Amino acid sequence: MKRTLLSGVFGVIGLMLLTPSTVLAHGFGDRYDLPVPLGLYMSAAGASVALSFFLIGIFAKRDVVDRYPKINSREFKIGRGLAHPVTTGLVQALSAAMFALYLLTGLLGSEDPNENFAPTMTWIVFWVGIAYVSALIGDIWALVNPWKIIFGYAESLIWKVSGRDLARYEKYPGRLAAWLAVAFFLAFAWVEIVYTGSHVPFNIAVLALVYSAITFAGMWWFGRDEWLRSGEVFTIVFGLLAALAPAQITPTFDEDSEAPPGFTLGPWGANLLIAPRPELAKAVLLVLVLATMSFDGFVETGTWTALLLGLHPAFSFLGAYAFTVIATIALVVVPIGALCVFLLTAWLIGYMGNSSLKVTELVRTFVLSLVPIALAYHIAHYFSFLMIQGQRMLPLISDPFGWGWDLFGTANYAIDIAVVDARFIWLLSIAAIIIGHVLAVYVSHAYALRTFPEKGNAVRSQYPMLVLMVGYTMVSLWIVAQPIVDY
Amino acid sequence: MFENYFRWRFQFLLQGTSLLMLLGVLIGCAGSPAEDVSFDLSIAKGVLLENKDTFLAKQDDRVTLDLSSDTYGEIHLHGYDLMASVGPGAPSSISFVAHATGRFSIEFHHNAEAESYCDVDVTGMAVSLAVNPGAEAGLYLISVETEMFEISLASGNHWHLTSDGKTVGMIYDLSTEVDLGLGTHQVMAQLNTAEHCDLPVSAVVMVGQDGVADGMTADNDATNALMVMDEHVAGGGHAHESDEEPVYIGSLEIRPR
Repeated sequence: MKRTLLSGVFGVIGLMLLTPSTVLAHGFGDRYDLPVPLGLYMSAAGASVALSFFLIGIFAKRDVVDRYPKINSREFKIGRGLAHPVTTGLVQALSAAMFALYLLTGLLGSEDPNENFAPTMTWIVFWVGIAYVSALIGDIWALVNPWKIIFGYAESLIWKVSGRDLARYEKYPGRLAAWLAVAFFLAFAWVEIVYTGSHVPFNIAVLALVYSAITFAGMWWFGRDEWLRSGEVFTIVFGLLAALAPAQITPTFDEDSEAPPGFTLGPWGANLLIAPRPELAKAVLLVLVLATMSFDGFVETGTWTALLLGLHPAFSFLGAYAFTVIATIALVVVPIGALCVFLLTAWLIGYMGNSSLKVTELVRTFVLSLVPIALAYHIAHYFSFLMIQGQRMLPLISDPFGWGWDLFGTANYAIDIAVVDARFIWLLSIAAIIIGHVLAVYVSHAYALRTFPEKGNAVRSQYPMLVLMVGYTMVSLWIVAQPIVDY
Repeated sequence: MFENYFRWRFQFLLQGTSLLMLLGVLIGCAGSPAEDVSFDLSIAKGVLLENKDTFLAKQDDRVTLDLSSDTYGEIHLHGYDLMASVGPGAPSSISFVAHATGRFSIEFHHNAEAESYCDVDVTGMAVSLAVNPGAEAGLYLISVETEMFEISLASGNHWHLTSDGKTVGMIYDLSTEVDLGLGTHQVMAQLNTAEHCDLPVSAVVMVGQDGVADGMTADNDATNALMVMDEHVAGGGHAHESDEEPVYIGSLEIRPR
C-alpha cells in the first residue's frame, strides 16, 4: 500500500516534470520593463567604480563605525502592539489559512494560471514579496512560515491531548549541516527558472505538498526548531537576506521563549555589521541564491536566447528536451562558477591580507557583504514586476479558484500597468544599485578591519573584494540594461 | 562614534541626491508633444513579414497597429491587453493612447478552427483578371471573370483586391475602379467566401507606368479536400481554446516622453 502510494506520487511528479515543451518559461507573470538606457547605465557604472575608490580612500584613513542607534520596540506602544502575542497569533492563523487556501486552489481551482491564486502567490507574493520584506523590513518569514505555524498547532494539540511531544528530537547529524537546504534550493531554482510547467497551478500544489511532507517529516524527526535552522531552505534564505533589514527580531517568536517578544530597529543595512557569520553551508547557499537571482535575469536577455539557439544543434538529439537540458546545465554551471569566483576571491583576500585563515573561514566572514548588491539588483529587476503583477492579488482574493466568485467585490479589478513609470524605475534601479554597492564595500571593509589585526593588511585584503563587487555590480547593471525577451 | 556615523550618512546622502539629480537631467525631460504613430504588422504564416522585432513609440502617443495576416487568429498586445481578430482578407487594427511606459510583447494566437471553415472544394473554380487604365494616371478599372464561383452581395462570395501585397478592397462586384497611384504595381485578385476564407484561386497582373500588361488567368490548384464545415458552428472558435501556443511576433516599446 505504502509503496504504491509512493510510486504514485513520484509517478505524478515525474510526468509533470518531464512533459516536454519547446518554450522555456521561468516563474510566472508578464514583465513589461524597459531596458535602462545606455547613458544611465554608463553613468551608474562609472559612479559605482568612482565611489569604490572614494571609499577606499576613506578607509585608509579612518576607522569603521560599527555602533549605531537602536530602537527597542518594547519601549513603544505601537512596537508592543505589533509584537503582542494576539497580533502575531492572528497573523499566524491568517498565514496558515492562506496556505490551506493556496493548496486547495492549486489542486482544485482553474487551470488558467492567471485565474488561479496559487501561481501569483508562489512566484510573486512569496518568492519576490517575502524576499523584499525580509531584506527591507525584517525577517517576516520567521513569523508567517506556514509549516512552522501548522506544526506548532499540531504540537500543542498533541500536548493537550496526550501530554507528549509530537517531535522525536533525534540528534541532527552535525556533518549534514544545512547541505540538505542547499539541495532543496537548487531544486526550487530549477523549478523556477527551467521547469516549463512552473506556472501551472496543479503542478505548484503538488510540489508544495511534497515539500510540505519533507518539512513536516524533518520537524517531526529532529524537532521543529532544529529543522527550521538546518533544513527548511526558505527560513535559511530569508533569514540570510534579513541580516540587512532594519528590524531584527529579538528573540524569536517562540511561545516558550522567556523574554517578551519584540524587535530592535536600526538603520537600514547597519545590522550587517553585527550579524553573526553564517556557517559554511549557509554561506555557500547564499552564494548560490545570489548567482541564481542573477541567472534568472540573464535568461530574459536576448543573449541567453541567442546562446540557447546556438547550443541547440549540439543537443538536438534530445528532441523536445533539448532546451530544458541546456538550461539545466546552465543552472548548474552558473552557480558553481559563482562559487569558484567567490572561493578565489576569498583566497586572494587571505593572500593580500597576509592571513593564515582558511579559505572557508574567509568565505563565512565576507559572504554577507554581498547581500546589499544582491538586494539592489533584486529591486532593479523585480520592483516594477512586483508593483504591476502584485496587483493580481486584488482580483484573485475575491475569486481564488477562478470559479467566478466575487467575495470582496474586487474580482473584476483590472491591473493598472501605468502604476510605475519607466523613468521612475530607471532612477530607482540605478540608485539602488549604487547604494547597494557602496553599502557592500563599506560592510566588507568593516569585516576586514575586524578580521585582520593589522590595518594595512585589512585595507589591502579588500582589493580583490572590490574587484569582485565592481564585477557583480556591472553584471547587475548589464542585465537591467538589456531588453527583456520573453519567448 | 554616533556623530561619525551620521556625518558619513549625511555626506553619502548629499552625494547620492546630487548624483540622482544629475542623472535626472541627463536622461532629459524634453516635453515634445504627443504624436500619432502607426505600425504595419503584416503576418505571414504566423511571423512578421518585415524583419523587425521592436516598434518604438513615446508615452501618450496615439498608437495604431495595422494588422493583417494570411492565417486566421487573434493578435494580442500584452500589458494593455488589447486583442483583435485577423484573417486572410480581413485586416484590422488596434488603436490606443499609450499612457503606460514599458515593453509589451505582441503575440499571434492562431485560430485553427476558423481555418477549417476554409476547407472548400475549389475543383473547377477559376478567376481571370483584367486591368485597364482609368480616367487619370494612377486610376485603374479592374474587372474579374469567374468560373464555378458566383460573386454577389447576396451570396457573400467576393474577391480581394491587393496591390503589392496590401489589401485595397473586398469587392462584391465584378468590376471596380481604384486609385493605385503612379508606378508599377502587382495587382492580385483572390476569391474569397462569405466566411472570409481565402481560396487558393487567384490571378496576378503587373500594371506599368504607362499602361497595363495583359491579364492572366489564375492557376487552379484544385487539390483541396472536401468541405468540412458542418463540424463547427459559425461564429465559434476562440483562439484561446485551441491547443496551439501563442507565437511571439514582436514587441512594442513605449518610452517615457
